[in-house]
Amino acid sequence: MAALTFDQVTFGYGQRNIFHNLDLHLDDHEVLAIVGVSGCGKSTLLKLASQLLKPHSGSVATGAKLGYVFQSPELLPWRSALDNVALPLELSGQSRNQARQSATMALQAIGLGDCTALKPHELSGGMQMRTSLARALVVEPDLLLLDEPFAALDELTRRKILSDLSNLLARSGTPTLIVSHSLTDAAYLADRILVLSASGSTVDELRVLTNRENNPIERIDSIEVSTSAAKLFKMMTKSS
Amino acid sequence: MKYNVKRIVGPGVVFSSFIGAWYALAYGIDNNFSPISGKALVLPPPHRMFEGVNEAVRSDVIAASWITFTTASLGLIIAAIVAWSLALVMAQAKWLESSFWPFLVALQAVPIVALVPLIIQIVGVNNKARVLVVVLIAFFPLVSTAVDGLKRVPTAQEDLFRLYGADKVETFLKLRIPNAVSFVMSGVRVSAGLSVVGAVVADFFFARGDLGLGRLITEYFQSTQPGPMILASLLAALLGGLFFSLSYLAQAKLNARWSPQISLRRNDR
Repeated sequence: MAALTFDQVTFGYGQRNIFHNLDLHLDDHEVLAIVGVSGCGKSTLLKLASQLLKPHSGSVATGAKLGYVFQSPELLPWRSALDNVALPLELSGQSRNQARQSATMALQAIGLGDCTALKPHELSGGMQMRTSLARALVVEPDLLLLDEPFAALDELTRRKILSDLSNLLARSGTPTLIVSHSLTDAAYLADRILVLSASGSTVDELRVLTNRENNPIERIDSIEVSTSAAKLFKMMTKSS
Repeated sequence: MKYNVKRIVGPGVVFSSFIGAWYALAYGIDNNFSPISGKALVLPPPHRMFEGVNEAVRSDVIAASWITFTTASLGLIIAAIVAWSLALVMAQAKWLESSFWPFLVALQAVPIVALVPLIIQIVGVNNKARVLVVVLIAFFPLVSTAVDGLKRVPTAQEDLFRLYGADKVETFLKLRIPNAVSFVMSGVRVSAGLSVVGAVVADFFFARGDLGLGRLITEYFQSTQPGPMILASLLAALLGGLFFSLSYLAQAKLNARWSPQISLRRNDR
């Protein structure tokens, strides 16, 4: 069963066409990464997937519950980490207490159990991004959308969060669409990687055999991941 | 150590220069002192600045300060209630915002003196008229900052609320209004100072009713009593400072709760 389907989607901004009759599907439990040069429409693709943008033609089908992690954490500064994570549940009609209970568990799962009362400005960049991730996962989404969430993090933090995310996805089996500038991150995390050309049409696909149950962060430096990243680089070069 | 010296020397030099200029002006103005009594007629020198201030003057000035304080406070509160209500309406839609803006800008640009006849016709020459002047003067910063705060929400945060199915009311209550707090408080800080200016200025136009500091300053000026005039002016300035400081403290307190990422530090360097 597909967690996300793009059927002949066409979209653009003004005169600039981004996607023309784009077809795309994401299987249940699958992690799909999208890579491509800046401006090729990666973030637009996520917004179409989340229904924040409507296609000019064609259709997008997805589950009802979505989790979205933006490029920056986008936490509300007046809310504690706990209340930020509880927000989507509150908005969906859960009581504050119930939402906070689930949020506490989500923060614990992502290693921030001790930081529930802290406000975003009291958290490090990595902790803020983890909180943002917890906010996306707390709704138990049918589809998780990640928009270059690790771009602004230092290498050590990035690797730790990548590893934790891989474990979380292994446990939850949440189908995930991740947009990334980093070919290594894509090769480490995804089952399948699509390369978008500068004109926004998918040009190539790389299948990666990722065993998420056993995906230690050291694997990111492995020959297997490096080779995949090198293949992706060649595909991107060819498409640009 | 070097830092402390700078902090003392700088203000010391400026203060000394100010006092020196004051003396130069007091003794430099033609016919500043009465040839009979020796009293200053326009500007007394600093060491005689409160010349002519007696018990009667002191009680008059204190009573007038209270009147100016209540006029400014009441005007500021009314201005805030009306401005924030209007901002909530304006933030609902772009067309509503653009419909109101020309009138608000015109209101801000029209000199109060041009509105005096209208104010007299509507409320008469009394305390209400003075409060209305304060409202008119304090209104614009309050409404413009509130509209800004309600509208300038990060796009991604708006997307987040849409994504999780928030309706318009929820988005207002949980996103737009909290986001507006720091903007609103900047407006309050500006309008708080303006409200005292408004209360004093209103006294010049509307002389009837209780005597405020503006009216008292005019009376002392007309009866050549520079000492009492300086005292009344100083109290008006102190009142302005008090309003500003209170709003600054309120801003710091509210920002700590609603916008903790915004620093109110004054010594950034």
